[in-house]
Amino acid sequence: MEISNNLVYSLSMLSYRDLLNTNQVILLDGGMGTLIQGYDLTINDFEGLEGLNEILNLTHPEIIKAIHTEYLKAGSMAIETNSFGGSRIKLTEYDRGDDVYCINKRAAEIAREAIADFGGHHFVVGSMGPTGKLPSSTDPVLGRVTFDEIAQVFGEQATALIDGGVDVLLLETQHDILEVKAAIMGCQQAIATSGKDIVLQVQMTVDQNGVMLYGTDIISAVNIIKDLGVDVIGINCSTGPAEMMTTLTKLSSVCPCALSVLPNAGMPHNELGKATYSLEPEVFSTLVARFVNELGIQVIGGCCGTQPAHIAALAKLLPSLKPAKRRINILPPFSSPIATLPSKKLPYIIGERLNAQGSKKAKILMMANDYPTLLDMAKDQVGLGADLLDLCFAMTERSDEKEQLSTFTNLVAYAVSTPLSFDSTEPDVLQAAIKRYAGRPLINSINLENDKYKSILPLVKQFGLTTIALSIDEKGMARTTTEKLAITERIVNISKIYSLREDQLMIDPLTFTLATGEEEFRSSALETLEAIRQIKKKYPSIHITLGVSNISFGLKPPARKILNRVYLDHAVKAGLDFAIFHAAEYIPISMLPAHLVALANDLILNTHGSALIDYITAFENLTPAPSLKGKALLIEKRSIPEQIQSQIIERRREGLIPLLETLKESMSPPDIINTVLLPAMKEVGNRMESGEIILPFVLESAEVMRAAMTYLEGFMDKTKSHIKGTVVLATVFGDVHDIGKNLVKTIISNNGYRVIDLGKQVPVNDIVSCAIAEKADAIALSALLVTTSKQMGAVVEALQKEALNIPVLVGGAAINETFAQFISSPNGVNYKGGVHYAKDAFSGLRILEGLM
Amino acid sequence: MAKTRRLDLKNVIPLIFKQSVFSMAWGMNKRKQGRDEVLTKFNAIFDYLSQFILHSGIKGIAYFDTFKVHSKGDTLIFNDSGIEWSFPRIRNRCLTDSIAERGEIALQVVTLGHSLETMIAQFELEEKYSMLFYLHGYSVWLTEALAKYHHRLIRGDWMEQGQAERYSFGYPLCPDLKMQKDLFHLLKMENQNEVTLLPSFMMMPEQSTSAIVFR
Repeated sequence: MEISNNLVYSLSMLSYRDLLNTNQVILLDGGMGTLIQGYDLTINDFEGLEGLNEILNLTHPEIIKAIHTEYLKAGSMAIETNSFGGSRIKLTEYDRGDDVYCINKRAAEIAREAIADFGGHHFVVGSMGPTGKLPSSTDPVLGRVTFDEIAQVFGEQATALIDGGVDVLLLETQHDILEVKAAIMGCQQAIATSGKDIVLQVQMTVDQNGVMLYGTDIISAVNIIKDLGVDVIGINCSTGPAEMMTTLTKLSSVCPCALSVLPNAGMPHNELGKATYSLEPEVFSTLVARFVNELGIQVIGGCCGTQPAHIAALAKLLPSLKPAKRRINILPPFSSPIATLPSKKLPYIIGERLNAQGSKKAKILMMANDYPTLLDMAKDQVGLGADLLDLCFAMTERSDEKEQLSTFTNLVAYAVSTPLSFDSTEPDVLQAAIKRYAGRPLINSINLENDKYKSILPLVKQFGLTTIALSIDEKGMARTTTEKLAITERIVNISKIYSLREDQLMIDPLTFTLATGEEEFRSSALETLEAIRQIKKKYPSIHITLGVSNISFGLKPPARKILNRVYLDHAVKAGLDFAIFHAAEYIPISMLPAHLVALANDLILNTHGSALIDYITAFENLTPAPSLKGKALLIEKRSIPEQIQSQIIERRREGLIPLLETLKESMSPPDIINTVLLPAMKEVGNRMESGEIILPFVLESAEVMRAAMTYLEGFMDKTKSHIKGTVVLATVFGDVHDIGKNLVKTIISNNGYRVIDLGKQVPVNDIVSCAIAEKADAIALSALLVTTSKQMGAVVEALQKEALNIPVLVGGAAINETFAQFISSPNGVNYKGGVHYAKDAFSGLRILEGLM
Repeated sequence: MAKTRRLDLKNVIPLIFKQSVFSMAWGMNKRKQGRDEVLTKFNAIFDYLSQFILHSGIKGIAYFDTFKVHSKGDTLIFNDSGIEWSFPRIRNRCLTDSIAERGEIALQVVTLGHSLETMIAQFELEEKYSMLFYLHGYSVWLTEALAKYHHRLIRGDWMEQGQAERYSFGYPLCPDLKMQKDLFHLLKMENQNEVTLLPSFMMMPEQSTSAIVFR
């Protein structure tokens, strides 16, 4: 009855997209789970698959249809299919991965059938929830799923839903923005293949502070996906409507797409172990109505705990709903997964230190795969004020730029709040990094010198990004204002072929050094500054960037700093908005010596023939100021070995490798291991035994130790042995408990021994033959139960039979000194190697030290 | 095969007794000094692992069935198969005393199955000794919580609140691990491949536990 009040909707046959485009309200349905619970189903109705609601599409379609009908009666204009957990990844958890197509197609068909029987003009919205994997995670298991796999999984589900007849594809309750991006790609592919006009609606789930699981705020989420061809962006689940007001206000002010909101029926509260929602329909609908009339939200409905009564209450209000007109703030087109650049800042600084081409320090670290220290460099730049971080791993010495950039991207993505800039000329390197990054990066860069832009621009379009374009063409680098403008014009025209907007371009009009003093370059800074002015005038929405420090290439560091900073000032006044610059040198001009600034100005503006000589001479007369580095050295009074030891004892890994690198110059790796590292681990053991630290902290120290060992092993002569001895380690046959054995392995192997770990459930013969083959100096055995500890006796017996005298160490919950004595004399004959009881890993270590 | 339930761990994690994980599995000692720091750290790791497990899609699995039984002295006899289990009487208490008039018991095996293996293997590969240690301790207590949770489900099946008692093998009143062989036979466990019974009557993977539940 209520529906007829929404005149435009009921009188015409407008599509979902038409309703969006004409600023109408669309009322979706409410929760499905609660209603299913109302049917009192048994586990058999789910074919034994607890929690797999989607299976009901096959076992009880009539129930799902009845629920749809209830919502249609309540006044829903569109109903969501029962396919939230219908992705292949989710279904595979129930071993029903092969039913993706039929479960999802049926989901859409059931909704269509419900609409056909009910009568009238309604829409089917194909629901797709998250996979439960977290592609953003650096975690070994959750993060292992790739971008392409996720895209494929959603593409498959979307295809089935489209074949079943949905009008809209809805990605909902999404909590990982990287998964969202991949899912959108998958859906776009499915829509394109189907040839149908399907609306794509994307909803994130955020907490009360408007933040997604991994810390993505709603503004960044919008910025990251808004140029990926989505039609509606919104939020659902997690909280009730009241808690959503702040988030929706932000969303409303930045999102160029239509908006949706599907709140829960209030905040969940725990009732007898079950999440319960209790916000009354009237309160719910009043709040949601405000979202429409005040914030311009168009698509509304309910999530967990909402029922037909909530939808009916909203349907009643439909005649009074008119989406407010919104004013949308344009965001700078770069976001990290956790933050977006502030709207107005001139210039934005692109941190340039993590560049194999530009920084010797970075290159050494990149060559050594020292990602933790690179991460520190990244954080340092952010601390100094960098707004974006440029990453360049291109080195002629290595061929794995793609893997390196992707690996580091994954590490740095959530560790710093600044967006990244991927600096590479190789399309495949860029593509891999883009797919690994949850944020919205800058691409650096294209040029017209060769054909690579033809592979890069499609990526820029597909992933909705912005790219730097250098003013270089087939003839080389543009020097004059005219040449720079001409190339910019060509780039703009080419980018139109790829359907890019002007604001997806960032032109770099290039800077040349003034340090050569050559006649033809003397006015090059002026040419660049003029080009910036003219490009900005002709294409106001194009961004402009500059590698500022090129201006001083060849000068001494103090002279470079001042010239760079003064030149940056000129460029910003001309219209530069993104400066590639060392963030530490971005200091106010007023703090620089005025006479040097004046000389720098003369040089940049080419005021007279001796400007360069004057500038260089001025610096030769200066006494160098004490550098920051000198100060840092004064504070650190401990010797390098002491610093390394404290890092192991205090479980700190950052900065370890550089210390080792320095120490290695004056000490051989085996000496470092024996006189620095091992004593530190010994101290860790002592602290553990005295109860000062707990076991897991010892393991963290062992991780630092391991990192040091791995580094040093790279420099050691493989043929010479640096090990104290070889220990064969096993949990005996029949026993599956190996945590104790693993602890022993960690402690022993990080105290200078070579450990051969045979694992758990190891038969006697395997232990003995391995001990012979590896020339073991000792055998260490673990067992939990009295029954399995008999195996230890069998091992000693077998050793005796082979006439061996390898010492045996035994340990485990059921083992004690008496037991060790008992098994040390098989058949009444004393075993020559001896059997020793070790109460824990550290006493085992002491026994080993005594034996060797 | 016996009845099988796949159990969503979000209902199980709240049943983990955190204190046991902290003190028994992770080795928090009683020293006052530095205790707050350790507690903060452990809480964070506990929450991290809970999130990790929840989002990994790992499910608990329970194999279970009910059986008609009667007793003869301290021996429990299965009516259908004739299998006999003898229990010790300690301080005048024996498990057969728990057999009620109805003469029904349930057997259950719960496991986290093979799903943790890849996770553990990856930590090993990356030499993340401490996370491996934390995960192991957590998973053992998660298994215990899983047994507790499924015990409640059985009570629910029987419409009994807090009556039915649960006993596991290897404890004083039920010490004989060999009975696990009968238990696996009765639950027809040969038809699944998530849990294996070893010749030593231990179960593999370690994150598995069995029980008798008396009605």
